[in-house]
Order: sequence, then C-alpha cells, then structure tokens
Amino acid sequence: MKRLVLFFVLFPALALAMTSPTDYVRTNVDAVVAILTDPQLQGEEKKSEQMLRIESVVDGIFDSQELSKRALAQHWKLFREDQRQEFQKLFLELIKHAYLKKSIAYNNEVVQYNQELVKSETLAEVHTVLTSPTVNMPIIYYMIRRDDSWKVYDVSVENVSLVKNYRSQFQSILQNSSPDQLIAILREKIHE
Amino acid sequence: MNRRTVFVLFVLVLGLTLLQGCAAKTAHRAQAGPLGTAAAGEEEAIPEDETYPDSLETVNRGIFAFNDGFITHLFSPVDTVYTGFFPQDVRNGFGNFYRNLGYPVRLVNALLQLRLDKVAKETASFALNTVFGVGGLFNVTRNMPGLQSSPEDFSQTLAFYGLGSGTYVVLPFLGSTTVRDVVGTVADSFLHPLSLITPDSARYALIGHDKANTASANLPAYKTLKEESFDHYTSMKDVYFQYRRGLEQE
Repeated sequence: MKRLVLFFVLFPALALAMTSPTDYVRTNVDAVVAILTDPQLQGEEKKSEQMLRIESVVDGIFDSQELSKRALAQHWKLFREDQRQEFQKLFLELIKHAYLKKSIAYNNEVVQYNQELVKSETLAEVHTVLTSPTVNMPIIYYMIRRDDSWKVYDVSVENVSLVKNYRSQFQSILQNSSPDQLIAILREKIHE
Repeated sequence: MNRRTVFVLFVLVLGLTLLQGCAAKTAHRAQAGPLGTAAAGEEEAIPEDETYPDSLETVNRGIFAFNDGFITHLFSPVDTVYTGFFPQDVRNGFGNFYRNLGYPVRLVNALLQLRLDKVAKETASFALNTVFGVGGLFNVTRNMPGLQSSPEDFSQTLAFYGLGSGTYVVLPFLGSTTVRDVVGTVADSFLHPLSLITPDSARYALIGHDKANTASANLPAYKTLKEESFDHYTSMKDVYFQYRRGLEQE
C-alpha cells in the first residue's frame, strides 16, 4: 500500500490520467449546481455571494489561451505577445460572464452525460444533454489536456459553437480594426 | 401568380444561386491550405476563418435592422401579453402539436435522403405522440433516446445531393435564411398538412400562429445573443449557418 501511495506521489500525472474529461466536466457542473441549489444561498440578498462562489468554480474551467487562439483564428498571428495576453484575459472574462448569466437562469435542469470522444491524447469532446420539462438541449464541451488537468476550450449548444460565433464577429471587426481596437471593444463590452 | 408558379420560380432562382454557391465553395476549398486541417506544433489549433456566402450583405443588414426594430418594439411587447395569457405548458403544447403535424415533411425528406433509420424513428414518434400525446399536444417520446431524430427538410435533401446553400438572405419579418432554405421551405409547405386547410384565412391564421409561437419560444435566446454580441448581424448569421450545417450532418 505504501508503495502504491509513493508511486502516485512520484507520478502525479499517472494519478491524473484516471480523471477522464467527462469526470472533469461532471465535477465542475455538479459544483455549480450545488451552489445554485444550496438552501443557504437562496434569495436576492445572497445572490452576489452565490455568484462569487460560482465564479470561483468557473475560474479554472476554461483554457484562456486556447479559447483566444481559436476565436482569433488566423488573426492570432497578428497579435503581439502583450496584446495576446491582454486579449486572453478579457476574452476569458467575457466567456465567464456569459456562463454566469446562463447559470442564473438554472431551472432544475438535469445534465445527462451521453458520450465521450477522445480525439487524441490532448483533445476530447464530452457530449451532454441538458434536459428540462420543456426541452432537451445537446451541449458539447470541447476539452484540451494541459499539464495538470483537462480544460474547456469551446462549448457548443445545439451544434452552435460559442468560439466559432465569436470568431465570425472578430473576423468581421478585424477587417477594419487593429488588434488594439478590438481589445478596446472587448474591454468596453465587459464594462457595459 | 398561383403557388405552383411561385414554386417553379424559386427552383429557377435556386438553380442560378447554387451554381454561384458551388463555384464559391470550390474556390474556397482551393484557397484553404493545410492550416485548417490541423498540422503539428504551435499552430496546430489555429482553425481557418469561417466564410459564409453573403453577397446581399448591404440589403440584408438593412432588413435585419428593420426586423430587430420590429422584434424590439412590436413583437416583444405583444409576446409579453401572449406569454402572460398562455402559460409555458400551453405554449409548449402548441409547439408540440405543430411539430407533430409536420411529420409528412420529415418523413418524405428522410426517404429522399435514404435515411431509413429516421423514417422509422419519425413514424414511431408520430404514432406515439398522436395516440398517447392527445393528437400531438404532448411530446411523449421526448425522453425516449432511441426515438430522437434531427428533423429533415427539403433544403437538407438538396444539400444531401450536393447543392450549396446559396447566399444568406434576411427576409422581412421571417428573418435569417438562405436561397436554398427559401426554396426548401416553399417545397415543404406543399407537404405540410396545414396547407390543406380551407378557407385561406384559417390556413394563414394557423401558419401564423405556428410561426409566432416558435418565435416566442426563441425570443429569450434572441435577446441573449443580441446582448452578448459585438456585431449582432454577423453573430446571427453565424448561428444560422452553424445550426443549419449541424442539421445537414446529422
């Protein structure tokens, strides 16, 4: 037993290998649902505390570099390192805000985990369906494996990818604007 | 101009636009280098830019702005009354009923695309929802995973046989579509049981209610998209193409 413990201490990556992409999504979704349904956190006066707690869970879910790289596509190369850093920070903030807003609308939906597609050692898809009394909504989490964990780099709802949607818009903006101008537009949107 | 003439005209327009669409598609493929299909190293994850055919963009943007004004200032307030009068369950019932009624459209198009699995699923769903769902008001098959099937329509059938979407079009009141989708919708309407209803006033009232009820269900998503977008028009166009292409692949 001691040897086994030592083995996992020395090789944390192997221990991590046991956490599948689905487990990663499930753990985080469950954590958010637990906060949303916590009887201690109900009511208007607890709303901001509830949001802060959800934010702390959501903070680590997304891979900001991959999100940004895919949202900027070919334009990524036009961004200097400092612009990339700034863009990543702001874009992550925007995605987090969108996620938080959607989570407030939570209405006892249940998440079914239907399929896990491992595309390569570092890429995977987790196919889920969000079921409520009125609709079944297919949601796919696109995952990338980083050193210590799986991270989400895109989410698609009913086949519509969030990152692709932003890509179309950024592409349209960057036709007439510079990276700095896009960064300014992003900053303005967040502070709206 | 009777409906048949309208249909023939649409087919002609489609033919011309598809020729353009196909040419554009081929040119696009030729331009898209290996980057889009993933290579090794740092650039591996960088996808190619999406391009959607939109040769009518200036006109489309104008109509889009008009539709947005209509939705914000007229449809939305009316919708508040509508949703206040009919509870969510009743509105879902309407939606279920109209969707169930569209079975002939989905059946014929599944057949045309040789999707016998979908033919079986659609037929079983229609039978169960009609008999046990009180004529389709209740969607009793919603939680039966074996019977879930993405809906087929004539535009998807045309795509199945290799026809491109044609350019993006924004229609007054009806919103986003493409030339192929317009033709598909007109063709499908001949198969839809609602088209058999007489007198005309009753038919148009029911078709109008079906569209308005669907629009009402989609209104919250529309508002969220508008709120979260940088360029509402581009965002909406992208959602439309992604959604339709997703259906084509299923």
